[in-house]
Amino acid sequence: MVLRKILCGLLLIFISSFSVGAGRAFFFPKANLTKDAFDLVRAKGDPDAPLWVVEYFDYQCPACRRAYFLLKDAVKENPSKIYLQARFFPLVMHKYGLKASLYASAAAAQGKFWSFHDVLFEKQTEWSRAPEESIDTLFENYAKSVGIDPKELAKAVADPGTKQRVFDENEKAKSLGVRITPSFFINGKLVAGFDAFKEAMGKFFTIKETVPA
Amino acid sequence: MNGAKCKLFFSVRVVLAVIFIVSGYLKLMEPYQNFLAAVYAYKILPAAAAKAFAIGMPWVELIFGVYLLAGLWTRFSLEVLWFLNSLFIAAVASALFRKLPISECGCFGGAASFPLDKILWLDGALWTVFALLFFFSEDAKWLSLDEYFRKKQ
Repeated sequence: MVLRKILCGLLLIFISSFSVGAGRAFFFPKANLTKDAFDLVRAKGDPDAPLWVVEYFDYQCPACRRAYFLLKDAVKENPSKIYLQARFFPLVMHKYGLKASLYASAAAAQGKFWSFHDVLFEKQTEWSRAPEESIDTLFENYAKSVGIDPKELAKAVADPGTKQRVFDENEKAKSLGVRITPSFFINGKLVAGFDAFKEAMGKFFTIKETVPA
Repeated sequence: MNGAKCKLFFSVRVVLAVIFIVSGYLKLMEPYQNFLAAVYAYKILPAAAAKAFAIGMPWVELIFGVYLLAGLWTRFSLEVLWFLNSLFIAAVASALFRKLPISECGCFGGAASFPLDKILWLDGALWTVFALLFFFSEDAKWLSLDEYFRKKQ
């Protein structure tokens, strides 16, 4: 009888494992990470560098800000060793996350992505607390400060195509298994969350974390 | 063994089992790294242990949830899940005590998330249900494999 119980237990383990495998295959098919051409304008470094880092982030996420400063230092100190691609993953829980991504996407169309990206993270604490009616003006002022034409920017932000591209990027991220921000792919391997990223980067470089207030 | 009391505890057993099955299954549908990020956030386990926990724990939830649902080794399954529930309570309480900036409890993977104070209450309620079921585990064995094998003997 004990043997029958054990066999029954093993059968239940088999059924559970099979249902997990089937669930993953049918409901959550996983896409492959590629060095997409559409976000080349949001890439930094040598595409043949030994370390390929893809970051999925939300501009309003505080942990993404920490990751931004860490990555900025790492890229600055090891420019030939890292190829960085920045991709949007605005979360619903962040009021201005999507809007910031739209502005950054529009800035990318003018070839000013990285300077605008820097301003958004550096001034995150300022605009995150701004009232809704002043957020557009604030973003436009940041854009002006880095030499972006505000009229062209406003046009690109209002363009439904810009929103669609951010939405598509979001969907692609989900199909890659991204659920939280910041999430990274280091040489194609998913690393989720800032702590895991810091630990993973520590294997390649000496990490010093400097986050200004 | 077919009175109202047995049916009541059988229902409680099913509900508890389903909670753990869903929790484990949803976590297993995603890459384990997402749950690992939640485990890291509690700052309790060192890196290697956190990784092992993030990979293994959803399977423990799922398999012992299935055992509890089927009523196989009912009491042992109940003890394992009760122990897990107690671990969650300790982890959440310690995170609240240390005022860690955790916005997601990580309980159901990325599919559902609760603030820590709310999940502490929910886990507390679950703990009480476990205690109740533990003391009435014989009544909860209605429509169970344990009961089937006992009758066969």
